[in-house]
Amino acid sequence: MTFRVVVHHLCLLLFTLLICGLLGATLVRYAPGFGAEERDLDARYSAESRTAFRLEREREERIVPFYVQHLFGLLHGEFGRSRIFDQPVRELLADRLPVTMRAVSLGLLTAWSASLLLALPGVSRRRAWCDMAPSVLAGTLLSVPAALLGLAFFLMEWPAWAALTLVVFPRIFRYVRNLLEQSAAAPAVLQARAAGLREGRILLLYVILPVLPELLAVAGVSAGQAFSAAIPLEALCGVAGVGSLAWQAALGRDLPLLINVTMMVALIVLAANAIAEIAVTAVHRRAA
Amino acid sequence: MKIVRTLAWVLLASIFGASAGAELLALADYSQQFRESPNRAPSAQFPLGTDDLGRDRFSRLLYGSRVSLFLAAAAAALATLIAAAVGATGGYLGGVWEKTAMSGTDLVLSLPWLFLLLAARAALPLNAPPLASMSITFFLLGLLGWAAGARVVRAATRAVKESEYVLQARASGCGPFRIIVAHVLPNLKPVLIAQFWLSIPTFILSEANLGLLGLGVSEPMPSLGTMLREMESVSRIASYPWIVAPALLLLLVVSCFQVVLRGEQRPL
Repeated sequence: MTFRVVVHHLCLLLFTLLICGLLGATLVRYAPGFGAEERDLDARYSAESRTAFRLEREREERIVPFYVQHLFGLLHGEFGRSRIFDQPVRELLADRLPVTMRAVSLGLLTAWSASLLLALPGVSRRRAWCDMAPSVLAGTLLSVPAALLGLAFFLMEWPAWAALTLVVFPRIFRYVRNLLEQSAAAPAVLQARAAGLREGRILLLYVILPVLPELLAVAGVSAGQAFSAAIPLEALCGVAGVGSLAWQAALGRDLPLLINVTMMVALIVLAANAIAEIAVTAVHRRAA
Repeated sequence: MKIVRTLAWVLLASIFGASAGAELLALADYSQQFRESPNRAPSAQFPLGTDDLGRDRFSRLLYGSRVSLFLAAAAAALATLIAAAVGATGGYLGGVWEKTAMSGTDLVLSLPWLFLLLAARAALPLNAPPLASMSITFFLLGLLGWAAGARVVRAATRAVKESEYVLQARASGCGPFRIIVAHVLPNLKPVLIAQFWLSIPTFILSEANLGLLGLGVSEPMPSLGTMLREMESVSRIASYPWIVAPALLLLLVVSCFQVVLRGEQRPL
């Protein structure tokens, strides 16, 4: 069963790569200004040279050969060259990806810890304020655009990963709270309390453990949310990660760079989802 | 809690009403420049002062909230329509159709959609006229934001599919398309309405993110997102504290939506 899930996710990753590649190549091909080059206006080139450039471009204008060429490049780790940075995209990604990965990991870790720490007292103590205070906080944070939080953190000179925590926290908290609330209402929890088990043990064995598969699934989804939030936060906080790279590429209309960044992030997110789903399957199998 | 919800409804209705009647309430056109009075403090003539170009900030806020709120609703309607088409078709037809529809949905759901939005937005001309940039921004939001709704619609369709009236329609010779349009979708109305309302605050926030990054609605057309760009430095906020008005309005609108939706979701 686990093997089937792994194969399914590998196929999905491959399919995504192909589809994203085709969409990316189509976007690049049909973007306004595609094929317009400075050298066409350069009087130093002869008429023959300009004809040669035109013929070369005409080959690129047919979408299928263009896509096949693009795909072969990807398979050989050749992501093209960034127009605005005049640098290979591979080098840019190698520089920027670790920065974003660090911020996303730190932000997710803090957001998950905060969500569990704030949701558990509300579930176990069943006091209105224990539930109300974090819910109001989460609701308020959900109403603030990520970019505005990024701007506030930039102005206060606070780290970008902390802003990322605040963006992801309310989304995780709502799911975690609802799952734990449902789990805590199960008759087994009441029975465990009646049997005199300690609260910590009840929370771990009877509240958290039964909803572990769902929590793992939410963990996979939260990776995508964190990467999406990274764009405005990095752009506004001046962090040199892939989020700000995507933003600069969008402003500079550097589509090859933007498409490759999007594909790379999509693959990371899909891989995170796949790992979460494989973990869910493993937990289900163990429980069965 | 009921009082808070009623208050949220009243506030939302007032804000929507005020932005709908922007022509009546605004003291000037959103693009009209008072060149002799740039960066003016709030006064009776300019309730929220003027910006760098001498445009009345209050009027721009009214017009901007109209752009953000009404077009977010239009984008939500488009997203709900696509979600209904994909979810109902997949859920009713089942088999390969369902698998294909749900694989596509899962794929869109698992991608970081702000990256997709940025890629799609950048592929279009950045020097597009304001009206076109505004339509493009919200059209893209609607086009990319349907996936979560499609899963809900598909689950609801599977429940409706087993009902007796669908069985009877099938027995009387109705084709799948007719059953979906005439029997399934009308019975999914509560689900579709809930999805529509849930999408609006998401799209308002997405437009604000794009606007703040300079990729949303283009000048001189105002929107809540583009108006947030004025808050770019601490010294500016300290000198002109009234420039935070769009941020406060945005916070108020989305908070009201959260309160209203939280209340409405329970009975559903």
